[in-house]
Amino acid sequence: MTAAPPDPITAAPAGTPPLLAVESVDVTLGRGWRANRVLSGVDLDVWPGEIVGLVGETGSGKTTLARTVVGLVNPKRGRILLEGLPISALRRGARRAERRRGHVQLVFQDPLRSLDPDLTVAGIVAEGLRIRGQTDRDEIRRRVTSALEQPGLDATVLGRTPGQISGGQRQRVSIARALAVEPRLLICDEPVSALDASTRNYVLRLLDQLRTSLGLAIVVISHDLSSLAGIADRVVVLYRGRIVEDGPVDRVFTTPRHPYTALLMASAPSVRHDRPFSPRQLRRTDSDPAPPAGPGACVFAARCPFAAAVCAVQPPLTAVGERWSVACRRHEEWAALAQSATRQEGPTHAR
Amino acid sequence: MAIDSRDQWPDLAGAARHDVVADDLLYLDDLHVSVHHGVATAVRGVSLRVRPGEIVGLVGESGSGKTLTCRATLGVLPPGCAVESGSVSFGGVDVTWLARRGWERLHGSQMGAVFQDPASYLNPVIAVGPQLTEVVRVKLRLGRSAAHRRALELFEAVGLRQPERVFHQIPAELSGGMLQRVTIAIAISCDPQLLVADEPTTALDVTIQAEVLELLQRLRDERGLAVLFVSHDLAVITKLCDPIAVFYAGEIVESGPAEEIMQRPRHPYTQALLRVASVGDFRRRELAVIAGQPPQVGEDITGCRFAARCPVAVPECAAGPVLSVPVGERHEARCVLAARAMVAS
Repeated sequence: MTAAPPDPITAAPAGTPPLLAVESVDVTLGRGWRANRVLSGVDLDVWPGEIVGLVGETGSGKTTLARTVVGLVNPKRGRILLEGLPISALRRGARRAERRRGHVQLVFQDPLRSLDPDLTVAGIVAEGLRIRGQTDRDEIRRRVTSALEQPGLDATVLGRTPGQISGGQRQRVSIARALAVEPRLLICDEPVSALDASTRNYVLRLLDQLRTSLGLAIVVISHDLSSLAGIADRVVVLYRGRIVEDGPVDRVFTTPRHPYTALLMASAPSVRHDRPFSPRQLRRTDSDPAPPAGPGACVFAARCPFAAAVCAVQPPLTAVGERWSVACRRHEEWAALAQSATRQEGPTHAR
Repeated sequence: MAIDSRDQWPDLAGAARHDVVADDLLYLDDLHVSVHHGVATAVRGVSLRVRPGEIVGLVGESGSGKTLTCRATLGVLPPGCAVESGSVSFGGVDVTWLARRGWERLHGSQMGAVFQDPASYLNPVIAVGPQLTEVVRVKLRLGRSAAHRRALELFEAVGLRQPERVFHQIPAELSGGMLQRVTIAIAISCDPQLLVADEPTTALDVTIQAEVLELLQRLRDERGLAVLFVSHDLAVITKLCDPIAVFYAGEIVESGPAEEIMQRPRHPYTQALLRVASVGDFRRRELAVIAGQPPQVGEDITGCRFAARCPVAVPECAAGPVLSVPVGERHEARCVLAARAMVAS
C-alpha cells in the first residue's frame, strides 16, 4: 500500500500501469428488439491513489459502467483489466473466485435499501469477510472493528441495525463494509446524494483521507457535481453511454471543452455567481439550425446549440491537453459562439 | 350552491378572523406543530409571511421542520401530527382550524402544491392529460373541450414541447423533468395565488433542475404567483428565492433577503451552512463540516438550540429562550451575539 502523492496531476506517472483499465467497452442490455445499447466505446483508466468523478445525467450509463467493472454485467465488446488481469474474460468459477477476492468494492447509492435491515452493523461488515473464507471469529471481530474505525464509527453502532442509525452513519457503514475486505478499487455510486451538505462534506472528506491512507483508487459516480466538490482529481463526463470529456477536474470545470460539460457547470447551483456561461447560452433554441440526425451522429447533437454538418459523425475522444480529452468536433469554436451577442439575450434570466 | 367560483371565499363558518396585514398572502404566526401524537414538538414557533408574487425559500437540514411547516400551510399534516398553537392565515383569513370541506375549496384553486417525487404523485395508469383536465373540470367547472384546451395551454406554459403528444402519455413514458413540469402544470391549473414547492428539484438532474427553477421564476413574473419553496440546498434557494428563512431544529434561526444573508449572515448556523454549501468551482480544497449532530426532535433545550454546535457560543446562549431580533432591514436573526452587536451599534 502506497500513500498517494499530493499533486493530482502527477498522481500517476506515465510509466505506471493503471489499476483499472476499461478498454473500448460496449454494453447492451436486453435482447432482440428490446436490446438497448447502454455504453459505447468507453475507455477509462484509474490509477492507485486517484479519485475519479464519473458524472452524467439519469440514464447516461454511469451505474451500468460500475456494474460492468465489478462483473455484474458482461460487456458485449472490449475488456476490463484489473492490475493487468482481464477480469471481463473470466467465466463461472473463475469469475466468482475473482469477485470473492473483493479487490473491487461497490458502495451503493441508498444505504437504507442496500444494507440488510435485519443484520446488525457488525454482521453487515463481517459478511464480506465470511464470504471471502475467513472463519476465525477473533480475526473477524478484529477486522470488523478496524474497518469501522476507518470511517470514524465507534463500537456503539456494532449492535444496531441500519434502521437505528442516522443517514450519515449508514453511508459510513456501507463504506466500512466495502473496506473490510481490503479492496484496491472502491466504486461509490452516488455516495452523498441523499445527505445534507455538512454530512456530505464529512463523507467526501473521509473518501479523500482513505485514498491517502490506504492508497485506494476511488471512482465516485454522481449526477450531481457537488458530490465531487473538493475531492476529485479527474472528472469523466458521460452522455448517453459515451464519454464526452475526460480530464483534470480544475481544468475541465474552469474551461470545459465540451458543450455538455459547460451546460452541467452552468446549471449547477452555487452560492457564488461567477460563471463563464449562463445555462441559456448553452441550450438549443428554436432558431438554431436543425442538428444532424441519424444513427452515426454525435450523441449530444440533438441538444447542442452549436451542432453543425461536421457533427453528423460521432467524434472520437481526442486529446486536447495533458491527460485531457474531449469528443467534440467543434471544441475550439463553440465557446466563442456561445459568447456571441445573439445568445446573450433571453426572455428571462436566472440570477 | 356553486361548489366554487374562484373569486368567492371558501365557506369560513367556524374560522376566526385574525388581524393580519392586508398585503400578506400567507402569514404563519408562531406556529407550533407536534409529532408522534403530541409527544414532541417538531416546529417550534415559526413565523413567516409570503406576499403576492414573492418566492420565499425555506432551507435547512433534514428534520429541521421545513416540510412540516409546508404541510401545515397546506392543511395536510401527516397522521399523528397536529398544530399545537399559533395560526396559519391565508389571504387574511385564519385557516388553521378549517374543516376538510374548506380545505378542499382552497386546494387547487387558491393553493397549489408540488412535491419531490412527481412519479408518486401522478396516477401511473392514466395519461397525464386527463389527470390535469380532471382538476380543471371539477375546480373550474370547465367542459370537456375547454378543459382539453386549457390542458394544452398549461403544458405549453410549463415548457413541454409537444403538448398534444404529452397529453396522451402515461407517467412511465415521460422523463423526470417532464413529469415535474406536468405536476407544476396541474398545481397552477386553476391559477392559484400560492404554490407550495417542497424539494421539487431534488430528484432531477442539474440541467433539468436549472430549467425547472427558471420555469418557477417565469411563472412568478408572468402570473404573479407566490411560491413557498423548500430545499436543503442553500445554493438552489439563493438562486431562486428573494426572502429566505433558515430552519434549524424546528425554528427559524435567520430570515431576510437572500442577497443580504449571503453577504452578511448573522447567525452562526447560517455562516456554517454557507461554508459547507456547494461553491461551484469544484476545485480541490479542504471541505468544511459542521461539527456535532442536530438535536433530536422534541429534545428539551433551554436557550439556543444551536449552542451545542456553535463555535462562538457564550454562557448566555443557554441561559434562557433566545428571541429573534431585527439585525437589518427585514433581516432577523435568533442569536444572542447578533442581538448584542445590534445593541452595541
